[in-house]
Amino acid sequence: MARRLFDTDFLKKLELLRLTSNRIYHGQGRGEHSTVKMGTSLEFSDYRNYQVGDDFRYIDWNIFSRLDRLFLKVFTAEEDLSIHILLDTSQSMTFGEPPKIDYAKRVAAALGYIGLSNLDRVGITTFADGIQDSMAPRRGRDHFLGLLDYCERVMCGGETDFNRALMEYSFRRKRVGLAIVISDLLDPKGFERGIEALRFARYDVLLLQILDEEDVRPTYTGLVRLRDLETNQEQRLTIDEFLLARYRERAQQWCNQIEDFCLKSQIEYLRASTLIPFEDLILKYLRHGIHLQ
Amino acid sequence: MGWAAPWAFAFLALVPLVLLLHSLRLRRREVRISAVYLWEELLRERRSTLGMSKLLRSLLLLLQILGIAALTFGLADPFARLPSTKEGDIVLVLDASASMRSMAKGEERFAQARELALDLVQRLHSKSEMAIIYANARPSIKVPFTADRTLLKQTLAGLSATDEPGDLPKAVQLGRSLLGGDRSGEVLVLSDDADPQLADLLGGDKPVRTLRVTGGERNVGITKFEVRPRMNRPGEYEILVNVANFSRQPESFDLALSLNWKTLRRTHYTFEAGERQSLIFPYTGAANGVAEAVLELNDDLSADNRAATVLSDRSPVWILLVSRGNYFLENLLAGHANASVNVVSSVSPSSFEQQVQGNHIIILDGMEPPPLHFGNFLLINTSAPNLPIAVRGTADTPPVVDWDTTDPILRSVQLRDLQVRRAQIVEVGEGVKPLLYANGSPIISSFETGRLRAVHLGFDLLDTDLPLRVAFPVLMSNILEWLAPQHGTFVSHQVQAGEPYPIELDGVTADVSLRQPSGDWIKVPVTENPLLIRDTSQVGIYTVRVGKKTQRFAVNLVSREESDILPKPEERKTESPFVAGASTQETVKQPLWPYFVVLAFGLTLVEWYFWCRTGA
Repeated sequence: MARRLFDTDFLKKLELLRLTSNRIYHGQGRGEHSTVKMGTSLEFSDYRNYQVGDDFRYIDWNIFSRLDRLFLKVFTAEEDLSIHILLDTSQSMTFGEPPKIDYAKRVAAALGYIGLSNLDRVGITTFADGIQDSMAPRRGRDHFLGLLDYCERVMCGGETDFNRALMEYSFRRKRVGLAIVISDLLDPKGFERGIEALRFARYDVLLLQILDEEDVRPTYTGLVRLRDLETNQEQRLTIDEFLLARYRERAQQWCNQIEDFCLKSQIEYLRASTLIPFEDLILKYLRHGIHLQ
Repeated sequence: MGWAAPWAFAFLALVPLVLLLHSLRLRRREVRISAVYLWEELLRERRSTLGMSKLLRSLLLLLQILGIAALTFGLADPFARLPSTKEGDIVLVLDASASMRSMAKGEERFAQARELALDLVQRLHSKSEMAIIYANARPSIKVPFTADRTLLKQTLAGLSATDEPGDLPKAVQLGRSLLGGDRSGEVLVLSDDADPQLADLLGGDKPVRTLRVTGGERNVGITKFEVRPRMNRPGEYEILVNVANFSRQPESFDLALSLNWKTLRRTHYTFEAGERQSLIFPYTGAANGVAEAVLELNDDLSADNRAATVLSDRSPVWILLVSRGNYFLENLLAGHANASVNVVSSVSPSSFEQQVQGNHIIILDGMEPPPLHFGNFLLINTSAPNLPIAVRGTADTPPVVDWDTTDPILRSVQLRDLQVRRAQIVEVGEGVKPLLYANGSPIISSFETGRLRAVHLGFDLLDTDLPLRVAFPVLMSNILEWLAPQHGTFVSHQVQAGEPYPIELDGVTADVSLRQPSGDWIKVPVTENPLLIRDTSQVGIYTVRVGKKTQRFAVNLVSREESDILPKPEERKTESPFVAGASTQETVKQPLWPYFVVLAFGLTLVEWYFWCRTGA
């Protein structure tokens, strides 16, 4: 799948990127993310008086030559970041050409690769009306193939209960970090309470909405039976241009509501159509945000 | 309502077809989408204003059925039988006589007639024209033939009934004359009753129809009112009042007589239905001013409840008779009321002018006078040298062939078979008005210029049988009245409404004003002498101001025909073509299919609108 999804050049480009978080988390091991702790990174933080037993290698001999006193250089500790990829695998994600789930899998894999390349812990969880399956957080680029295999095995099914799934996830996890939620957000019950639960559990959230163009700008007209992929519910309609225009207005209004919510909650939000080339989404649009540098 | 093409009802069979189609479900394309809840929100929002979808489906079905029904009815070519005027021109004769002022259900009969007329104008055929004739005492054309409905309506709105007796036959004749030539149409009379004389006008190629307005049957009226002096009893008068009850039931009322608005007497009467009485009341005293009789009751026609006259007890007329002796003339003048006669046997040229000044009238019976410059003269078998009446000889037994009955001198004078043994052959000049011709020569003529008035009789009275005829006192009375109009007999000034009233002018005054009973003053142009006051359409007291002098006269209805406001049942039976009403009104087939087609189109639009709104 790695060969099919990502070519070598693209992977090299991904290696240059890193995922960051607004929040400062305590990591489990050494990594590349600064923490409040002092440690042994290359990033200078401060000086302190030498004490017996300190490592001579960190004494600043230039200051000693001028002041005849021993000062020790203190560096910022760098630890790893826990990246939680939450992938919506409800039945609605199978809609579209290409299916939204394929696009979402590629996004998840790419972001996972970025995290693994930067020595972060990357875990992936699928959800629909609840938590479906998880791959435990792992470090190191070696686990990228495992991540790809997991993504390839992901199957869609069931109705969406976004709030319930994310609330369940937020209560389950101990090691919080950056939560990347990938979904179409097409849930009549809404998504706000799930996102709020993640934030309450101190996750830093990046919300990626993947939509097909037909979701927001349908083109079908005439006498139709609309069948819901998740609930199998049927709606008989005679759609004309007027009704189509009204639907597009309503869809745009729905997207604006999501944007307003994320803006108020200080959550990075990006809506992507499956028509947008996948590489552009990662290398252009996500880089304009705050979590991918 | 009828149907010209009832076979079209077969199209109602489409209704079961529509029901069948509604029972079938439409074949719809299945589209699988991520979620339908956004669509449901949209539909909920739209359906919230229209109710449930099932109801809407039923509404659409109902609208379709109604549309088919409307279209079917339209194809069946429905029509309504509406009373209407036929294609062709109409001469509308609007009766404006006094009886049309009778009150019926709070409004005058004329108002009802006007409403009928307005309705006729409204329904006037688009290719037809209408003319309006106002039928009062002197019928006139208010609007010539026109298709301008606005003008017709405006004219009708401005008309009202008068207090005059009407002249419907003359109005109908006028209407028929308007329809002369190639015009097709009819004369339509809007009146409260069919005039019996109208029956004579039924013949001919121009039809006459009447539309009757009814209502108001209680009336007691004064049909005659006179005040006259008693013979040989100076200062004593008789007041004659003819009163009739035209109602179907007995009526009680007070009759009040007044002079100059002071009540002379008030008497209570009860008249049986149809009862008529001539009431005579004596009066002694001065007879100058306004005498009035008033019926005090509240009936349906008020114009005949009051009658008045203006009394004038004139100063005596002084007459100088210059004659060698004329038995008939002297006796006639001696019996003339309020006349003082001096008889002389010759004319004295030296004192002639003084005599002329001292007498109102000079009668020269065969005596040749000096030149005449002023005064009032009756010249019998003679002429003055300065008058344009030249005697050229005599003619024996000339036949009397023609006389002018319209002149006030010969009014009511019957001169048929007048025998004249010898008459003058007269040649008249400018200013002389010949009145009676005998063998081509005027033997009676009048002359007036400036302050000089003269009447010439071209024969000796004793050479004719005129003194032995009834016409003699009438002729003499007319001559004396014409020569000295402001003097002489007791005069009661009143005319019937609509009749002209003459005003004698002095030949100089050109400023004449008239105050109508309504209180309005109007200027009357002076075009003749005597001046005829023709606008006497209202009953009441009129005041005429001639220069600085004023005089009054009264206008009364006093018409039995107008006061009798009861309908005439016997006429209704016999003259069915003249009986107004729906039975003789034309009906036309008014096509109704356009309305049904428009309805069907409207229903289709509404159905399409709901179909678009629901999207179902």
